[in-house]
Amino acid sequence: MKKVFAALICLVMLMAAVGAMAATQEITVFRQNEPTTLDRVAATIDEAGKFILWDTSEPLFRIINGATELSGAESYTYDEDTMTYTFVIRDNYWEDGVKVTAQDYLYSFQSMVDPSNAYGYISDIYCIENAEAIYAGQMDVAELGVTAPDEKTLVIKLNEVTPAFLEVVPLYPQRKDFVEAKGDAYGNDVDNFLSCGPFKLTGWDHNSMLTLVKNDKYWDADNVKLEKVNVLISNDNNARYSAMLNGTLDYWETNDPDYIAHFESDAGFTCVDLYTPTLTFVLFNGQDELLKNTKIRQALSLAINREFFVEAMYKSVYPPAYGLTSSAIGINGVALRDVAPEPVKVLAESVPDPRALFIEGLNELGMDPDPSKVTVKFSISSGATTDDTIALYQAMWGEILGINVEADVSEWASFWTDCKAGDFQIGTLAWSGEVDISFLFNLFLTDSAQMPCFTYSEEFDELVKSANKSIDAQERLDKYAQAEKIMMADLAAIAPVCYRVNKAVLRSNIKGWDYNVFSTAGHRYVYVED
Amino acid sequence: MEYSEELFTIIGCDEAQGEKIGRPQTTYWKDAWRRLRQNKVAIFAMIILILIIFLSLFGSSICGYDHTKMSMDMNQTPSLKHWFGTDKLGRDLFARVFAGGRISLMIGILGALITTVFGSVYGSISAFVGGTVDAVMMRIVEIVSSIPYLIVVIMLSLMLNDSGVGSILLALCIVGWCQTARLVRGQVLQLVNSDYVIAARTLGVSNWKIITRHMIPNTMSVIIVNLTFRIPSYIFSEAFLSFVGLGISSPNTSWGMLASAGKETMLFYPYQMFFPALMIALTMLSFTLFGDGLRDALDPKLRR
Amino acid sequence: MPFFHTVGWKQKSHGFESVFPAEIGKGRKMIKYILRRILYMLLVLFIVTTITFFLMHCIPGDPLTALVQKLPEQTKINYYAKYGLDKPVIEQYLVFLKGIFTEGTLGESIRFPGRQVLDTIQRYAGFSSEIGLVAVLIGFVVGIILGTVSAIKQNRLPDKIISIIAILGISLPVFLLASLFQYLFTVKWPLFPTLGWGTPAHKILPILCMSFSPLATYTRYMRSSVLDVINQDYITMAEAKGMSFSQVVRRHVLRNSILPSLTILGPNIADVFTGSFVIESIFAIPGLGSYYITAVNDRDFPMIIGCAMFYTGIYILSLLLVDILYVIIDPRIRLTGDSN
Repeated sequence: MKKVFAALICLVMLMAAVGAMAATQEITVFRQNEPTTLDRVAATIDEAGKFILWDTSEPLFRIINGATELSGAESYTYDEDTMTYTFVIRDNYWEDGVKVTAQDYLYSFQSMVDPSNAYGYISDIYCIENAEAIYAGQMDVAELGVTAPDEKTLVIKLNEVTPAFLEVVPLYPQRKDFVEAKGDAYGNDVDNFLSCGPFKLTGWDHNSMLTLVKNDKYWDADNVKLEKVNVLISNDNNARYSAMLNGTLDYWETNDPDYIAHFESDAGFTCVDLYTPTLTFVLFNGQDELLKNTKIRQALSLAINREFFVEAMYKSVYPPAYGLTSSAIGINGVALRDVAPEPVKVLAESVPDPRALFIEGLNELGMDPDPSKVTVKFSISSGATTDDTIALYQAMWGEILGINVEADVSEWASFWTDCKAGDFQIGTLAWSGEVDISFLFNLFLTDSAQMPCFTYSEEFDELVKSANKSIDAQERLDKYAQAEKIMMADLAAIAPVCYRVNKAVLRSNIKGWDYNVFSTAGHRYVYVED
Repeated sequence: MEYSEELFTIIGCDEAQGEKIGRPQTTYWKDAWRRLRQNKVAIFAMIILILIIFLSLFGSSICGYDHTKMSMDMNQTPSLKHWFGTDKLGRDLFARVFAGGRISLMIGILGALITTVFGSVYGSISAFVGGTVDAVMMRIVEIVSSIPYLIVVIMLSLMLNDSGVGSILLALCIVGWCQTARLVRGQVLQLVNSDYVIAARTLGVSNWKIITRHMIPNTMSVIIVNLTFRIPSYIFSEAFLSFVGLGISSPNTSWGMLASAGKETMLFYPYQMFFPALMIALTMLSFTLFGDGLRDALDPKLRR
Repeated sequence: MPFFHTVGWKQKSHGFESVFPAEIGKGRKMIKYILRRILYMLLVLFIVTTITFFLMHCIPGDPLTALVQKLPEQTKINYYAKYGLDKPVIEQYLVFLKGIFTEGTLGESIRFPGRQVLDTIQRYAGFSSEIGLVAVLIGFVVGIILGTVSAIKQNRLPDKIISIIAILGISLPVFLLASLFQYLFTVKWPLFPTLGWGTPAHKILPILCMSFSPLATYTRYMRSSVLDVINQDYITMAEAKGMSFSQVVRRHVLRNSILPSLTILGPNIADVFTGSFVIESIFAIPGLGSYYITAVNDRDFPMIIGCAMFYTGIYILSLLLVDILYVIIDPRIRLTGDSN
């Protein structure tokens, strides 16, 4: 009896779900993991958390369709002499009806530089006056170069020219009274979070689903068409695939060619290239006895058959990488790839036989010139594709260079700990850029110590640093191109392998999606077509 | 006919023959083997096991492919050329499945053997000595088996700094011996207090003889049966670890690694999961059935 | 089972009443026994917690290295200071103990700021147990029934069918079964939802998958022990007395043959919480299993230690429960406590 009852309930619910989907402006998307927090200035804020904040908070600027657009700010001025931004805050309201003021934005900045918060992305805002000193505990928070003279005006004073300021600096508001009332719990549940964006958070079943509902108090609510966005948490490909097929899920990102082929042949779905600022690469430890030799590194880099690698791993859904950035990343719509060829490709043309180069390197090192006596240790973090990746490198380096490759698999935390400590020989990983082209270059600066390749170059540092501060887009691109050539070809500090281009799959009747890399539009302009 | 004395010779009274049993004498093991042979299911399971072991040893030379060799024939369905098809990187699945079998079986058999030996020794000592030693030893068992499994496995694989068979084996064994120790201890305790051992002791039989004549044969069957049941559970555990991302790494592979890789592509290439899964299931099944048969055969109570 | 001896008939003098004690003393003795066991449980919990705490800190990496973001030196200093990770491990351990004993807290997750470890465990373990306990219970009850039927109808058709089910149940790894079910019932014939959580429909498939293996195990255990029991003299005696068959089964057979199944019930329940990770990840169940693995990978120290304590506690507790059940069901067993 009970079972019959349960079955009936299921049926009713299914019908209700189907009925609801046809009629309303509601979509269901997914994230791989539960947001760690919705507190934008927490140390552990992750991609999922940022994703939710695009919808539930209101930054001063958003990146929409590849360009910065005023959002939380009504207008702004920039004084070049004093390096000062002055923003006029828009009339916008928190979901409880309180007005969003300049003080809310100010408070957010103050929290970021407060050492006790240990905000992780702090170097993004080191361009603001005194930010670095305050974060190091040498100055008081009140001395930060951000002020709010009245509730409509926010003034930010920089200490150096920062062309990418509007893209890089997180400009989200946080309401002091609310945050302080909630303490550490701020941003960890529905009741402990306050929205002021196009949507408000109304439900959060941890590790399962978040529910966002249109925020009527949002300043641009008239142009927000969606009534509801459900964010499901799932990291199982098969489950997501079947959820797409049975109508539970409306949007999916995948790199699996089999799934893509299926959706591309189905008129009910739209598939779009989704460029991500992510590079998969091989990291050489420049302190290693073998890998300190440039020719060895170059030979290893050239012996990677990137075309075969992407075909085997991703059926060429991901393009092979011979440089640091893909064709989608550049400045003001001009890609780095438009002005410079990929450096590893250029290098490959001058080296017909990587094996000969490798032997040359061995000779320079005074080692036995027989590659078959060389065994390299290949470190990788565990994941779904780990084993295939190892097999490919074993095959590629084994066949082309004739060396032996021994795998060392560990999960991410210990893999990365080892790498940072220089306790590895060759490693592979993927790294995502944030918001601006400069990010990927900054990784390899000598003093940033981000990427433990231990092959650094002063020339590279100078080029990148001056490019970061240059206002002229053409000059910036040229300098980045030169720097890229030094890092990828001349020194071969790392070997780029592939760029990440996922496919976004969504139901054909869903429109207004912003596919651009670095987009922070969220679901503000998305709608369901009848 | 007269019966004269000359017709008879005194051969004396052969005391040694007094207890002679007319039927051919069988040892415990011979008898067990005889009974096992009569159990058709167990024999069938044994044949399958031998077949799987044989294929695991010689699989890649039978099909003519190396399990690490890639080709451009990717994701091929089973055919005459590739009996089990090929995987994402164009490697022959038949060769891979049986190369995986080598590792999986090795982990299963070695793991079960190590823990059984250690657990048996530990359990018997605990039961024999008894008293405080027993209490302390059993508390240790209790504590060790209460340590969360994953922590131990991750830690060990990090400490040993490789993702090879050795560290997985060690991690599984460190927690796995407790069950056997408990089992053997229980069995020995029961035996020590059983009527016939008490009788033997009363009759003045030496401790050593009690151990060799009564304890070992009677616990042996329990231990061996336990061993056969433990093997699949180690194969299972290895598969679970692979699924969590803590399995062994290339060029080696295992059924667990193959099945969890196959799970990712299940919707499009179901055979990539089917064959390793079938092997796991078949092996588990065979060991279980064989273990059942062995238990019946070795149980002295069922001896006829 | 370490705490009692099943050989009740041989009990000599150990302070308690021997073979047939007066029923009057039983209640008080039971309470005493349980109290001592709980005390002992706390000791084991303490030891395991201590071991885990130090093991955890032996693993390379900390919550910070698990983060995938650029971190200036200053952030690390601030961060370690914020979570007290800059202190020596032994001091961290003392702080942790102090938290437990003075405030009754396990601390706050590092990865998920502002979430109390205790609250989190409560919530996630709830989801796990909704699925897991129901599955074990179904497996237990159905397994007992099938095993009994199988034994009574030994070597006839029902026995053979049940045996095949049982054999399948123990030879199919649970993640293969789950993948298969998911493929069949959500993709091929979309009868059940794949993602999300909350409705009964979400729970049917995972429960089905998880109950399969316990069901098979209990069926096998039950079948063999029922076979043992029905050949005993007292069963023949009961039948000779003129008891009906169903009466014999209920009064004698079930009661006496359920013991082996009970012994594995304890560990089985504990496994539900740890081993359910795979099922949880396949069916997107927001349970503790997946959370635990995330915590280990993220080096979320307070969360790891919290989960470890929880699992240990559950494990020991389920062993205790089984022991108590044992005493209730089998009259031959007397409480002997820890001493031999």
